[in-house]
Amino acid sequence: MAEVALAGSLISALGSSIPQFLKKLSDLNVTLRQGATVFYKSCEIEFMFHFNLGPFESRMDSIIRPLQKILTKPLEFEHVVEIFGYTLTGDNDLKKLGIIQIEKNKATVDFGKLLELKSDLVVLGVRKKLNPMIPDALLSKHIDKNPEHTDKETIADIEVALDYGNLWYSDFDHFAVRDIEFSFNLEINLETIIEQMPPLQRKKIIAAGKALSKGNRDAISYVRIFSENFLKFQHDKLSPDLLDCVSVEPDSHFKIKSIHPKMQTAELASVGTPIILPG
Amino acid sequence: MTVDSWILEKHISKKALPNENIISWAKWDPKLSVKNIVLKFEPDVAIEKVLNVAEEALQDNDFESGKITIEKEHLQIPGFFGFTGFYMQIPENEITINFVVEITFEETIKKIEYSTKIIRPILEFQQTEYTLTSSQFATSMSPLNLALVNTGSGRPINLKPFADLSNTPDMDIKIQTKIEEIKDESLIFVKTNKIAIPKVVVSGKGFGMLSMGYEYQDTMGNSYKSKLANLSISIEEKQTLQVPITENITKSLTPLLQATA
Repeated sequence: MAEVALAGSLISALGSSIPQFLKKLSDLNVTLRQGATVFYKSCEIEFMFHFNLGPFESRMDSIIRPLQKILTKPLEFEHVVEIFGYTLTGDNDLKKLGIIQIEKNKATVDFGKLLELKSDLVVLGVRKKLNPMIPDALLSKHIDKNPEHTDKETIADIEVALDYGNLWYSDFDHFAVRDIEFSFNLEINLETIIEQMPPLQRKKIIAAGKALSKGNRDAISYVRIFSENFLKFQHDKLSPDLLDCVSVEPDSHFKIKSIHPKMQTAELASVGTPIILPG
Repeated sequence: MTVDSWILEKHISKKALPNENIISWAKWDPKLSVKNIVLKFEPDVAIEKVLNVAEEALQDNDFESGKITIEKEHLQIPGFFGFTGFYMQIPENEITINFVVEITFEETIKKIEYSTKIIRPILEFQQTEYTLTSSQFATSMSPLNLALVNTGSGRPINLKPFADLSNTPDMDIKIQTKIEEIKDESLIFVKTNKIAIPKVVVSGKGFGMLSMGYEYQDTMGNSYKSKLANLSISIEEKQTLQVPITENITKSLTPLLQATA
């Protein structure tokens, strides 16, 4: 099934006519940089295209005329989550210029007009939903089910390996995976935390925790801040924000259920650079 | 880790519980021309996914043979090979499993060797023979302390006692357990373990024998049984004894970060 989902290239997710158009641009020596970011959790892919159209004066003969057959109508992008575009010089918003038009989840890009922009460099970004099988097929991930504990640290190995390098390696100059999510419960020896708490703030922390346990809205903030800081809190001082929200009671352990930290970005690049993320 | 100079990077999960995913990969100079790659693995290892190889290219391989061969044309990109898998059995002790990746280049065959430790919790009674006499409990019903030690690296959870009873005609031995989930009042301060609190109930007189052990799990949900401890019971006069049992487990009550997905 994963094979079916991955058939063709990732870029074909944009629609059948887009790869053909991009190839034509490439044949016409329009320098094109293509990047893609897979958002693992939300099952989305964001394409970024940097078009180097060259000097406006020479564009009519070198690009526009050869593309006229294709450019009779704007290119359509379906199931679009987000689309944006701008010129690097002049900083013109392609939506304001009417080059990008959006209707519900469908967008059109008028490349005829785009090629008439005075700017040499144009950026276009399109974010689309992916087949849910694709992120799982692209990426093998694992979090240690039996972490090691020391007096001060809990260490769980996280491993991520990317597959189907042929799909993204050939199509993109830059490829990234974001929001890879690992889920775990955290049970912490309170002594570990209490030792790190400034004594003067302990009362405040406990009061905040009691409010939290009664459904105070700080709970949301607590989970957010704790999630954001969990990776470093056992190494560094607790952040002031965390101290404002976290609560502990004098018991042997407490547990926070279902934390979902995200690996913010896993950067990958083209030839000559590692294709596998660090474990 | 020392890596042969031709390998740019190699990795394997350093430890895994039974049925837990193991991930491995290796990278080498993509300019080196590969003829084929052979992955060799031990019995009881299931290979789940071979990275950088199209699924249809694997169809001719018998995964149960302990060997998978990948021809050059089936590699998606040069210079990379990986796999995911897991150990399918529950070993008696912690073991090391080995993997070998043999890469045939134009003029030479190179090997990459990996190993992963398969860990598990191993609960054992510190003492395997216990004696219970009525005189011991004449004045107070002190708990019988069956001390356990975890000699494995895995964390044991969800302990439940079980018993094999050898009753004599004049004696009735039962084991009663009460499952308690230790929980604080607030939602976030929760202890994880369900704890079964056993109690031995002995009625009658004479001699009897109780063999007792613990069923437990690891954090992957694999189930285990401890070795048995024997409890010899000797009661001189007909009576009923209710003997609570406590278990002390060393090396297990550690702070926990437990993956849930």
